[in-house]
Amino acid sequence: MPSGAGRPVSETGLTPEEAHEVLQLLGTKPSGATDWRAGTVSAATLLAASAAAPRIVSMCRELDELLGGGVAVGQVTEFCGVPGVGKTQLGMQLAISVQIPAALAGAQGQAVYVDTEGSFMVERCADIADGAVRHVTAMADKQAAAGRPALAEALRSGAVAFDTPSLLRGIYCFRIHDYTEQLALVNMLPRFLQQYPQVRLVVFDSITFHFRQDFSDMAQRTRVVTAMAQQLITAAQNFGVAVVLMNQVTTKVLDNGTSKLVPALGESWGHAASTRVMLHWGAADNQRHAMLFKSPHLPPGDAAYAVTADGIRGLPRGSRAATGR
Amino acid sequence: MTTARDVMLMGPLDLMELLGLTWRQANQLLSDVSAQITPPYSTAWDALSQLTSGDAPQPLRTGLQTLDGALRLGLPAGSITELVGPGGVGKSQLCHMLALVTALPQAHGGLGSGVVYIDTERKFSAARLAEMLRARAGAGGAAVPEAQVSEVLQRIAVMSPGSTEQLEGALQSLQDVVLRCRARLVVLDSIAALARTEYGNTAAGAGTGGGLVGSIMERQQVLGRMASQLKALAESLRLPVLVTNQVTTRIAEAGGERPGGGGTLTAALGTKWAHCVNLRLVLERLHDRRFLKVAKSPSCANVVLEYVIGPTGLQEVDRGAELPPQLTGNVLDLAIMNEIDYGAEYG
Repeated sequence: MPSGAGRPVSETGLTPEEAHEVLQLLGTKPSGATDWRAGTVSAATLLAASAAAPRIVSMCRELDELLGGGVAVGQVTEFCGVPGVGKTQLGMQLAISVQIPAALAGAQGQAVYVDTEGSFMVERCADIADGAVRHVTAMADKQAAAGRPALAEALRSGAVAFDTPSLLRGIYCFRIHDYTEQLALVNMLPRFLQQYPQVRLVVFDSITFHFRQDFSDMAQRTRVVTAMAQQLITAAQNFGVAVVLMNQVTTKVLDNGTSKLVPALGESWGHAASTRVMLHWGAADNQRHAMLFKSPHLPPGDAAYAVTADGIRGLPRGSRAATGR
Repeated sequence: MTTARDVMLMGPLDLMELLGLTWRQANQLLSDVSAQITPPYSTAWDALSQLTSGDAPQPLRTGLQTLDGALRLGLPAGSITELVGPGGVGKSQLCHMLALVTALPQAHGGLGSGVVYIDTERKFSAARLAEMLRARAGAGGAAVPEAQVSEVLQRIAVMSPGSTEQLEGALQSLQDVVLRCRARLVVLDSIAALARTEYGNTAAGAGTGGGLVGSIMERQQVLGRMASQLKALAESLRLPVLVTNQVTTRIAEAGGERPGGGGTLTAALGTKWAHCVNLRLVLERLHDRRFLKVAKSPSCANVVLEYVIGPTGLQEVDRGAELPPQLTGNVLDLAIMNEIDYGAEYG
């Protein structure tokens, strides 16, 4: 007798409930597993897990709030923007701040940085690391002053290593020279993440570059890029890492003759990332802005940020009121 | 299917069909090939240690102190630096100046190395170089003996392609030339000239317009290819590549008008090209003052300096902190008030 509750219903005239009972009496499990819950996860569990998973902060409060507390792990987040708006800076900042200790609600992980454009500047990254070390030390001192010296002591004794050399050792850089290497790397990513389980962030800076240079067959490009996106989504979920994709922008001519800047790689690429943010220059205040335009659960919004010597930060308090966002 | 690239472009299903493999075998093949071609990683710390260990190529000093400070000693090796600005603002002057610094003997503060100068606008002037060389001596530097002047000039190899096709050919042979002259700098002045004259400005004129080689889409393809080649060269030989670009008037958008009545100018060749360069330096002129700003850089904040063009090339001047407000803001815009009619003067 073929298993499954559907057949007996039509062949024997039983109700689905009766059929289910018969199948259970016969010892045929509908799902073939001992626990009917196998293969499913309750939404309550998912909620608890996502609340427990630390976010990766950008060090700009407004931007983090826009993203619901920072870049989420287990998901793909895309940042697009014009050249010079700070995509690489943000990528480097995230690669550093993913290493913030758990005592400060950080992910305390490591980062993979995939550099396809040759823009990863290690000296700049060292500056951002210095800035983060200063920040974390100050936070630890503040905690100590408030009667919680645990972190300050851990930093001093080296139990929690948070200094520039160890931060830089926690960033694995891949320099990718063409799309063949990029596709190969994406194929190998699960294996790498298995070997380095401490990795919590994978940055692609940028995901676009090689696919805009030497692809003439657009249909093939779409197919390859979509498959790549799928692999990245799977890797993000399976290993609980945040995948951050930096995307370029391209000029699109609209029907009425005007043009506007849109993310590169086309419409179908829009499904790759669950969260998409456009980085742009504010027309009114000449500041850098981040605009959330796709998210499964957050409202669209806008936040101004600055690129400082120490990395990504919020605007100074005085100018924030003046910008009137 | 002969190369790794072909394999990478296929999914496991394609491989199963083509080679008669099982799902497991196809995936195994994919991951084996991937493992072969994935480059190894290095941690950021390794990279930093390598940079500071001394055997790394030195960045090229520009002689403009604010810029050198912001860029950590000069133009970074291994990446593309772009100079953008309107005609006559000093792009080619800066190119000449950097070529000279590279070619000067080490005793005179140079690198004593070769330079490959690709001149598409026929603006290269050996006379100007010799003049700068002598002016340097007058400006406090030790005089370069007359016998060495020709030696210095001989280190600079000039290529003058007359069409995009020839330029692409020049780029093909560039690696060979660079290695033969032991060059530590490649200058391309300018990338825009040929592309802008040979390709139509509308997609509609593709292949039909008189004398136009192709549409703007084709132009972007060619530019993308050149950018890849230059980038690969810069990286594999660890040297700075300096490229100049022209400016174009941006199609006016409502509310985007700047005070002063002029339209906004922006770098030519579009955003796709702008994404390709690693470092963008913008040269602009406001009234009779000239400014250089770092508009795009992965390694430093946006800084601005004021300069004058003197006998030795660009010279930084310090006129206090006050800077015109037009210089802040979107790095893609150039705050140029059209008080000088560029069209009449340089057209």
